[in-house]
Order: sequence, then structure tokens, then C-alpha cells
Amino acid sequence: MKKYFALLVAISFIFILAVGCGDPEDIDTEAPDQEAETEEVEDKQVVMGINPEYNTFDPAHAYEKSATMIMKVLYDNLVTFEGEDTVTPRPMVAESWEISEDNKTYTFDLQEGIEFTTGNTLTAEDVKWSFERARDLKGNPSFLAENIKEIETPDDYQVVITLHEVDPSFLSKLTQSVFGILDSQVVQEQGGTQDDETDDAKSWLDNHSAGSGSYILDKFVPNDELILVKNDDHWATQPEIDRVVFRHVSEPSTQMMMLQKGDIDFAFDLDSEQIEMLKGDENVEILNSNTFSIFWFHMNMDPEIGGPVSEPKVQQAIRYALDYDGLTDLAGNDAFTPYSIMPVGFLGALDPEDGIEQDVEKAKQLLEEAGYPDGFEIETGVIPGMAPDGVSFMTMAEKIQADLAQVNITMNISQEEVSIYLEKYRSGEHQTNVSMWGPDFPDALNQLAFLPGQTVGLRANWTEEMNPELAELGHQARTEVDDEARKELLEEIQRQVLETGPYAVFVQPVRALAHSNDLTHVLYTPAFQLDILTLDRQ
Amino acid sequence: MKQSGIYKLAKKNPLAVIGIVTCVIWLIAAIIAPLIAPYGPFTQDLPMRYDSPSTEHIMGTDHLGRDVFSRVIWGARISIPAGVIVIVISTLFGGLYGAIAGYMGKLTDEAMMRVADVVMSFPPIILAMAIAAALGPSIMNAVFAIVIVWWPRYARMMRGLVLSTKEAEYVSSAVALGEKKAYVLLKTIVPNCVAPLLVMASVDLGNAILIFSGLGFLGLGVAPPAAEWGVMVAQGVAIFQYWWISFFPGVAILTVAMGFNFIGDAFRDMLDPRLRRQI
Repeated sequence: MKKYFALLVAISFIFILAVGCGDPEDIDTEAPDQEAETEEVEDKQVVMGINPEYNTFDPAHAYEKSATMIMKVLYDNLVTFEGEDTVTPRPMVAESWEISEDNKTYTFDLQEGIEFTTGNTLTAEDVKWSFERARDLKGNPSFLAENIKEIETPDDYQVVITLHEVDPSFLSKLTQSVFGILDSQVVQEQGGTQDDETDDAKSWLDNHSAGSGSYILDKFVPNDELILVKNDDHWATQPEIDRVVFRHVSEPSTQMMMLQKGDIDFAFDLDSEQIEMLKGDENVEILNSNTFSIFWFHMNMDPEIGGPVSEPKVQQAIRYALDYDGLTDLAGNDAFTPYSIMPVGFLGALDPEDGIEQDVEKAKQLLEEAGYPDGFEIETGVIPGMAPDGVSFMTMAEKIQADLAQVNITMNISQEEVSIYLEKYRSGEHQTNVSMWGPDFPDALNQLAFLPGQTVGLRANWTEEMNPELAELGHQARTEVDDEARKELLEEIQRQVLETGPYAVFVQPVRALAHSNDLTHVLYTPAFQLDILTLDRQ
Repeated sequence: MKQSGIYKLAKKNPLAVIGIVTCVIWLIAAIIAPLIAPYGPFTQDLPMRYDSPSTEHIMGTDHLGRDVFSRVIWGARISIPAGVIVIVISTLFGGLYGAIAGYMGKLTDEAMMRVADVVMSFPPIILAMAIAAALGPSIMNAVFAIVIVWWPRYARMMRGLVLSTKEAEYVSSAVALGEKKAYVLLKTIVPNCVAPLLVMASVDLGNAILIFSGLGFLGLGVAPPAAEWGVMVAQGVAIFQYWWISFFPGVAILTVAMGFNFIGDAFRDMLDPRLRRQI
């Protein structure tokens, strides 16, 4: 009897050993080809290297770019954009919709039989509750829902949304993660309410998902990793990848080494120098993706703060003084200079070719006409050590400094901590600075913030009274629903801003990413970053 | 007598000679920088970005296509004077402060030295960082920040020296002759305490340059585009495949700091009476 027992122990020991040894091979991305067949039945896993800005996945609070990328697969929306398109919203949870004559009432008919990952059925009530929570919690993205006046649910599968103001970009906003549909029952059980004071569900939603999306949030440990697992019962899409791991790696150089070693499949935060180095690596593929961000030189319109740069002629001179080819060259990855405040890819964006070009003689002449033949001194706020979309603020500032020196303008760089910089920038205290703007949602209306009296305009103390005509064009564009007429308005706005605005827009970056060539169907869009749904691996 | 002293030193202490030679070379380089630097320190040449060391750019070019060699040479014009200013101000102020504290004694001494103790209880580089960060990046602010953390050590040393000297008989006789306090302190006591202070200052010069570059490295020292060594090292560390951007300014900091340290050591050997007797 004892003998048999010993044998049993020995056999199980060997078995455990065998299983134990087998595991690492499955994870090893460089496993030999002959094992590919057996891997076919195994779970498909993709590991990302990312320097995350996200800290919650509550649709009513999260608004970081990387969080919206992840929430796009955790939650379903009424409508969505497909692929690279950011102009035509397509049906998702909403089968179809109708817009009233006055463009203020939207009636959505919902797909029946959609189940949350919790097992409950998605109904119109969930849509109403989620949208109202998003609007009333006053989180970072709540402003997108502010325009919703009321939501009615005539039956379980119909939602009627009424707006305060006409908003041609409303459907485009509905594609955003803030309008992700929550399982209202489960969230309420977790203490969720529609009131900022009493809502307790955020801490639960930080690391759980309660949606009907293609993936479920399995684990989130800040500064360590985030794991998504596939929702096998999703009503519409069945993605190829079973497990998506986001490993939190803050150093770009570490991400590069991990990618080369095969520890990660996708690196999110490489800078242009590292991309150059990876170009020779045959196991790595480089992916260039347009962004909707723009970088510009910001000049204060208030004569007391701006001094000479508040004068239109000086602003025009500065626009002519910049070496746009050099600046885009420094931004790397085939970046370019957009026409003005409208990034290429948005409705009505004018051709960058027709934009402004460097003309030092003209700049000098303009300065002379403005009464500054010998130039002047300015101070420029810059955040050191930060390179959003791979473009370093400091490098740009140093280049601008050299360009302005050519027309006798002495530019003193004031290096400021992010918080100090933002405080001064937002309250319009900078004489000049080097700024960057990424749109909140993929629609041209975002860029109207640059107009006089609007968010960015006011940061340059550009008030509505200074240019009422341009401000009025902005108001018209905001409520115009006809795309053709909207486009014309937007084009006129760009032309006028290029002539009279306190901005010198110089770069729209192109973001470069790198992934192992095992990955296929990699789709990266400026609006939603990496599309996890289409991703596959060999 | 003095000449033979230096000669003896050169034989006994070759490091001193190396230090002197290095520092003299750097000082000359700083003075005639515009003549020997092949390019301007701020001249950008974008097509030549990240060019590796070659005959055209013997130390390569940086992220804006600026010649690293020219910037290193021009950098001597910032770092060396900054270090010297820090040491001169710290020695003068700290020395005088310590002398007064030591000579007055009693409550004045207690009060003055506790202030110095408070400053010294902070880690010097951290305190300098905090001050520089609060004042904003500029050369003068960085110098000021370092002086703030640097003077107490001189004050302490001077106080100790004054305490022992003031008991000397020639001091008592000066007091007995009815000389004023200030006269006694400045004409009788201080001149007899200066030597050790100078030794300390010369040894510290290298350290001061090091801390100054450290502040620049952390982005708290000098505002771009100034060609300061610490800033230049910082600009290159993120992209280690272009090693020359950080390496050459780093070598500059190393040689200058070491050179001044060697000189300081030799100076101590010469001036410190106890050590001289041992030789």
C-alpha cells in the first residue's frame, strides 16, 4: 500500500513539474514556430508597455486618452465610429435614430437582447441612468453631457434625448467613453448615485467594469498592470485576443528594451530617437499615426502683460519669423505645420500648403512698421522635460528662440513646473508661451475654443469685444447643422485667425509607435488610439 | 624660499602640477573662448543634428545641431566664474560672521551659531535645490542658492579659530592698549586665522562647480540656451546612443573639479603649518 502511495506522489510530482515547465513557454513570445499549432487552442495574449495617465475607469470621471481607449472596449455606446472615420457615427447599441425638425430632440431605438457582463439585460433605463450620472457627477468629462436637457424612456428599448441648444457634434460626442452605458442595477448596488455628494461607486469602478463591452476589466493595480479579459458572450463583436495586459512602464527606454527582448508586444511611449534606433530591428514594426494635437506659440493680447506682442503687426511678424520646416523637422516622424488652429483630419481643415511660410525680411519689415526696428525682449513660459506626442516643449522653445533672435527679438525661456505653468497659462498671465492642445472629442467644434472670448482665446486675454465679428462666426459655426455651410464657416474662421489671432501654430505631430511583427491588424487612430477589437497575433 | 617650496612640491606632489596645468588650460580656454571655439555656442544647424564626433565637429553635435566642442569651451565661462563667486562670497560672509560670533561670545555667539546650525542641518544639495526652484532658474539665483547652503561651514571654522586666537597674549595686549573692538578683531585676530580658511576655500572650489553643474543638470540652474555643462549633460542622458552630447561636458566637469581639488590639496600642504612641519 505504501509503495503505491509513493508511486502516486512521484507521478503527481512529475506531472506538476511538467505543467510548471510548460507555462513559461506559452508566455514566451519568441516560441519556435512548430509550437504555433498547439498555441492556436491556447489563449491569445497581448502585452502592452505603457506609461499610463489613467487612474480610474469610471465613465463619469475618466478622461485621459489612454483611459478612453480602454473604456471603448469595456463599455458599449449608443453610436460609435468605425476604423479611422471620425465624421460619420454608426449604430451600436442604438439600431437607428431620428433627429427632430428643430435639431434638438434625438430618438434612439435600441437593439434588443443585449446583456451586460453581469448577466442583466441592457434597457433604456440603463442608458438614461448612465447619461444622467455622467452629466450630474461633474467629473472631468461631464461637460460633454452638459447640453442634455432631459432623457425620456417611452419603452424599454427607446430613448428620447432633448438638448438645451442645437449641437451638430452631439452624435460625435455620444461615441465618447463618458457615454458608456453602465449596468445601473449593479452600480447602484455598489453605492452609485447620480449625485456627486453621495456617489460611492467610483472607487469600485476604478478597478471593475459594469458594462456590456467586448472585454471585462479583470485586474488593475496602479503603477503595476491592468488586465482585460475577453467577454465571450458579447452580442456583436468577437475580438481575437483573449487577454490584454497593460504593463505600466514609465521609462521610454525601458519600453524599448522590453520590446526588443519580446517582453512586450506594443510600446506606447517611445520618442523619435528611439524610433530611429528601432528602424533597423527586423522583429519590430513602426507605425506612424496622425494626431489631432497642435503646438503653437501663444501671445498675450493684453497690452499690460503682452507688451509689444499684443500688437497685431508684431504677432504677424513673429508668425513670419518662425522656421516651420526646421520646427517640424525637430518634431520628427514626418510631423507637419497645419494651416492654422484646425488640425488636418477635421472637417474644413484648410490645406497646410496654403499656410504661412518663413519670411525673415517680411518679419523685419513688419517689426519696423510696428515701431520696433531694434527688437525687444520677451519672456516665454515652457514646461521642461515634457514631450507630448513625442514633441519636446523645450526643443521647440530653443528653436523658436533662435528664430526670433534673427529678427532681433530676445526670448528668455522661463522653465516652469507643470502646475505653475498651467496656473499661469489658464489665467492668461504668460506674456508668451509654448502651448499644446489636444481636442476633447473628435470634432472640429473643439477648435472654436481658440476664438476670442472662448477657453483658449481668453488664455491670451483675447476677449469677444476685441473681435466681435470673428466671435460671431464662431457662434454660427457652433449651431450650424448643415455640413457644407459648417465647412465654409470653419474655413473662414481659420483664415481670419491666421491673420489676426494671437497664435503662431507650428506643428501637428505624427505619433510613432512600435510593435512586434507578431501583431497583425494593428489600427491606431488619433481619436481612440489603439483599436483593441481588431487586433490579432500570428 | 617660496620658489623652492613650489619646486619641492612639484617633485613631491605631481598631482598638484597636474591640477595646476588643467586649471590653467581651462582658465585660458574660458578667457579666449570666442577665439578657439569653431562655432557659436547657440548656432543651430538642424541638418547636422546628432552628428557623431568628426573632424568638422570634434565632439559631435547636439539635438539642435549645435557644436558640442564650442559649447563646452563657452561653458567654462559660466561654470568657473560661478564657482569662484560662490566661494568668494561664502568665505567673506561666512568668515566675518564666524569671526564676530567667536569674538563677541556669550549670547551673541549662541544666537548666531544656532542660525548657522539650522542651515547646516539640511542636506546641502536638497536645500540648494529648494531655494533655486523657488527663485526660478538663472545663473545668479543658482549662485545665491549655493551660497546660502555653503557659508555656515566657513562661519564655523572661523569661529573656532577666533576662539583660540583671542586668548593669545598679543590680543590681550592690544585690548590692554585700549584699541577698539573692531580694530582688535579685524587687525589682530582675523589676519592670523585666514590661512586655514583659504585652504578650505581652495579645496571647496571644485565642489562648488560640481554643485552648480548639479543644479543645472536638474533644470534648476541656468535657463536654456546657455551653454552650461550640467544642462548639456542633462540634454544628452535621455538619448544614450548619442553619448557625446553628455560625455564631453561631463569630462569638462570632472577635469575642472579634479583640477581645483588637486590645487586645493597642494595649497593645504603648503599653508597648513602642522602639515608643513611633518614634511
